[in-house]
Amino acid sequence: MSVENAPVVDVDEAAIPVEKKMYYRFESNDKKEFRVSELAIQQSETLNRLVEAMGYTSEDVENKPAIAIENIDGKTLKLVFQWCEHHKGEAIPVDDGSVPKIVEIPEFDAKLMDIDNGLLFKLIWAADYLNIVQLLNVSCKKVANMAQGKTPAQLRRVYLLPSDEEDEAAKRAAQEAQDPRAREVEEEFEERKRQGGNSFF
Amino acid sequence: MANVSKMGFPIFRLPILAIFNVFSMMNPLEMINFSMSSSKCKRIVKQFFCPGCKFELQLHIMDGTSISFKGTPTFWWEYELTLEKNEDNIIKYDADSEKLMKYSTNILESFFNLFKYIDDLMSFKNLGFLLFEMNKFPLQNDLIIQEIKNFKKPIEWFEVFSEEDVENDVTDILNHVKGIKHLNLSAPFSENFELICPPSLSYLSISNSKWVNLKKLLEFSSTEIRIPKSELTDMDLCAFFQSWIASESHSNLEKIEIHTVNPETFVTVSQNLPHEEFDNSVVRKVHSLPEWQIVLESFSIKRNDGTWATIYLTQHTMHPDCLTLEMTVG
Repeated sequence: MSVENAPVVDVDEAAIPVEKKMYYRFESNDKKEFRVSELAIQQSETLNRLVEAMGYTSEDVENKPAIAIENIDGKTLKLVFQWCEHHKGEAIPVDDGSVPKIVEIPEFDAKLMDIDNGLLFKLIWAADYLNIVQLLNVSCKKVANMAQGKTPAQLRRVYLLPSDEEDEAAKRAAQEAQDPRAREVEEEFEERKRQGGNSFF
Repeated sequence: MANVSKMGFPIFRLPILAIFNVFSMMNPLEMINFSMSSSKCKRIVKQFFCPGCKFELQLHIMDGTSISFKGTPTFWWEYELTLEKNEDNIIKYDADSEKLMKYSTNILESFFNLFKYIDDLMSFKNLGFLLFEMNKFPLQNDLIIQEIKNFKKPIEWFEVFSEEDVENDVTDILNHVKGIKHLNLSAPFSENFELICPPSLSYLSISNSKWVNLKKLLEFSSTEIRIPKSELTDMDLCAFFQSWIASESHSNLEKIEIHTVNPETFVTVSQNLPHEEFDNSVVRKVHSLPEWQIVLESFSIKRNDGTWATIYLTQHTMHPDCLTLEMTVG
């Protein structure tokens, strides 16, 4: 199944499914609404537990407000639900103890993740937050693959890693930024001492 | 969500479990390179490996001195130290290995510095394999031995090769290294050499075994003994098996292999030991031989506590002259 054909549907753009299967409605933090099949939701441990706890009927799903997912935007959530619909019914992978961990990126997932690093970053956050094990695996695998054949200096550029000097400079800048407040605290302490208090608190 | 550059990937802004998930898919060479990117990177990689590293660490002090990591399913990642500057940072791939060449003017110094860095970084619980070819850096053997002794963790599999008598060095190492399970000695020790088997030893292999006489053989306490080129006489072997039957030695022995014997040796052993008719009511272990080995003859013996064993004469399929006398217990 191609990414384009994955059965994730924006409510505004497509008809409501006529199947008897239950489709839950979710809303992203930028108010995009999605209908997602019950089976697809099972890929997310977080959402699966949530809908189980809610105990919605088919009517509830239609009549009650969409379930809000407040810290994921519509663009990211669309990718997440496309992934869940494509992989619905698949077993949740368990760690087989291999080192390094073996994860293959299927063609569909590779196309889905043909995105810029900013969106990939949000996708990993979403997969982690929603506890979608295999989506987290394949997205992290894509990040791990960036390290192939790279020297430490190249890895600093790939992963935006500050050098020790940059870390040190950032630390100094943070200390300097804190100094005015530190001075204020010190002055307040001295003032209280002058007023006869033995303790700052 | 904060802005993220399209050029690089800000790995440190991921949740820690996601960072560790990324690490879990990197190979050891990538992880080590990552740790060398900055002090912060080293700290976080150390944190990842804090529960203990699942790769097996192997050291090879030989031609092509190297540090290897064995993964599962079996694949090796390796650093090999080289004196050839033009080989520096070249990666050599094989069907089951990936080797990164590192140039050094002082191979041993670089080797141990890298080893200490890796051990500190990856929290290995033990050293899986150590191969020490003592003729490779003869003038620096003291330094190597000191480094081996300084490594306080168990060494599971230890192999020593030498063309000289290195009795004192081997004794020194065995006295200091803990947890050796497999020991392979290939050096021309004098007849006075007394091997005191480490208590953890389960497998002992002795090449150049001129120094092994019956008295010493009876004292080896490993569960498996392999002697590729034996100087033991046929009567020595008979005495060994008789000692086993009488429960006088080797109560934990599971297997012994004496390689390169004559057909007459098997005849002598067979004639001097009480054969036992195999009792079909006894459940016995199934011992499968490697494909290259075929059984020519065999008979069963029984220890005085009722434990069964089988003595075989086997032949190497590729080298018909290569006969092995073997006893498997159980």
